[in-house]
Amino acid sequence: MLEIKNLYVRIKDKEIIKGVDLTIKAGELHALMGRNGSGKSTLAHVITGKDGYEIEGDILFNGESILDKTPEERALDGIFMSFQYPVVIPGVNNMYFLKAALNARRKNKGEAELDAMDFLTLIKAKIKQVGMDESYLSRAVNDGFSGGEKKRNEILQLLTLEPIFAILDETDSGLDIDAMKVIANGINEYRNGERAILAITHYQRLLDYMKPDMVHVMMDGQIVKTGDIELVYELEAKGYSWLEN
Amino acid sequence: MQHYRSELESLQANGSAEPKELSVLRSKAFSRFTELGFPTKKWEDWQFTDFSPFKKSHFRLPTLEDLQLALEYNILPLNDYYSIIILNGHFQENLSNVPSGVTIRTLLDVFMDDELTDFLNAEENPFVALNTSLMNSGLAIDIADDMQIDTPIYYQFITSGFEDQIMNHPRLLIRLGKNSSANFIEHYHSKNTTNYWNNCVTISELGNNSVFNHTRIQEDTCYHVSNLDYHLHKDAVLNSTIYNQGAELNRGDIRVSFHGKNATANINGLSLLKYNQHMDTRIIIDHMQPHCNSHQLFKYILDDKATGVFNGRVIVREDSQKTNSSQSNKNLLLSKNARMQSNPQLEILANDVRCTHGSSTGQLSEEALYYLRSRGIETTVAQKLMVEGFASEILEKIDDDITAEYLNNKVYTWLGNLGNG
Repeated sequence: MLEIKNLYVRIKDKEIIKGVDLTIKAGELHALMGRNGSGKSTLAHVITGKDGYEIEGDILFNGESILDKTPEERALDGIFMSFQYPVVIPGVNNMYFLKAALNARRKNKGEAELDAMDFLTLIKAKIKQVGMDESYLSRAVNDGFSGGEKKRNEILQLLTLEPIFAILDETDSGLDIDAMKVIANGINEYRNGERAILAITHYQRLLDYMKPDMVHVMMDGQIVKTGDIELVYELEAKGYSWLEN
Repeated sequence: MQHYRSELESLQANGSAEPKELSVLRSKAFSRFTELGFPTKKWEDWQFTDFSPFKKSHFRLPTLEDLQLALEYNILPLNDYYSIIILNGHFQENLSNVPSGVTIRTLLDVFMDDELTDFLNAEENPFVALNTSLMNSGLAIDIADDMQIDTPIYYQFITSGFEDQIMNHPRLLIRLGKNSSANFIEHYHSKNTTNYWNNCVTISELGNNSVFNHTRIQEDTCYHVSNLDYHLHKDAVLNSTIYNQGAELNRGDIRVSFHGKNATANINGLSLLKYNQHMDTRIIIDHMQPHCNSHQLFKYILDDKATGVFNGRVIVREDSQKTNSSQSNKNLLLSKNARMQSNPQLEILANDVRCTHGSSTGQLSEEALYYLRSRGIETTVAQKLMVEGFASEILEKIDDDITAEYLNNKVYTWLGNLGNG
């Protein structure tokens, strides 16, 4: 589904990603771990199409290069990222935003757009799954939301938009255990054989709930180690320093 | 100046029905106007606006014959509202209706009743002096004590059909009795295509413990000058929303004076500017009494080569302890060529007060735009959503749903070609 080929990324003159190859197949969940500043979030933003990067190499999505596509085109293709720091958008109603996003995706797929009533029915069911109060629908996007509520709102978008490929950028950070369970359940709800996930995380706990197929460790812009869930336990015990050099 | 003088002279010659006192007042105000002249770049509070069109243009006052030019005009149907309509400078009593407890009198009536003093608001402002001198569609609206008028009173000032350059100097005096509450919508709109100018003065007096919800909608397309003067007595509450869109040149002066304790003024403004439009707002909040609150939020959205000016001053006088005041001016630039000049000021002479002020001018947040786009929302749609969101902070403060909806649609339509230019 996703193929990253010999990817180099620079911001201004600073090289952030220094030759990454990564292939994620449909149905798989890959975990990406590593210290802060190792390039994980940059990799995520490069996949979703944020401006301001100088890029070499290629990223293919379902066999097609996406590097020339805009963020909205990639989203309509089925790529989604749960933001590490969800953005507050003052004055833009959360439900209106969700509806606009869903209808953009439906229109792109050739499906009929949902009217306000049908959308309300759908979103009320989805919001229950992430344990959010319905009042969050009538507020501005992420405005005044706590850290945990912002993350739930990201997963609500994941469940509503039903992308093919989802990047979860530290969706588990700042969550208490109960919230993490809810989020993990939401993510497991989303998973199926046709979808894939790249989960960026620092913690074992979320991965315990989600059972990754592969675990990668990123260091200084490169993937230095790949393994299975055992690698997570090893990192938990030993930290990252043994991987240096 | 000469043509303003000849307009005054013909007004005085034709207005034989007008009492002598009014004629005297007009002359007196005109001398004041000529002493002051139109503002120049050297005037501190006026320096960012070019007032030369008023010097160059030859505007005339409308006559009764001009009334028929506007009769085809599609007056906005708001069936459930009380209505006051002024067409091409002429009050339309037959098209107007107000509830009992509300009295409308023309300028003439007011002078007959010898209430001249309320209309005399001699200032350092040449536009007020000129308005006093040439006022042609004055109304005094009195709301009795202990009246709760929930249905809005909708005042429309309509300019339409002229082929030459026209000016109006509307004067509105709104007096709200004690313990009364009212919603008043003051709306200027037009289908006029030639140069025209409305130079408005609106004076509102809020009696003890009254609540005045005032929405002022400015959609004149050419030149618009306004003076809003609010006087708040003890325990009065003012909720004012001032919406501006469409004028080539727009100067708005707002003054709030507290005459009694425990009064509150909430004043919010939204101005939409594009092309070469220019809007200059000066607001002065005068805390002359202790224990009063004032809160201001003024927003500008500027596109193309539009320019905006915001000058705000909050004055807290020596004995006005426990004043609580905030002033905020936030501006959104949608084009690299748009400019905003913002200058919020505080002048505090009392020591036990809470006052904040701030100003920010910027473009749409790149982060927010990226976030919306990453959800599959097109750039132009995302931009519109964000601009509407920016505007909604003001519009959602309007109590009346129909008015709020009307203005939301205005913003939406205004944004129509966003992203194409």
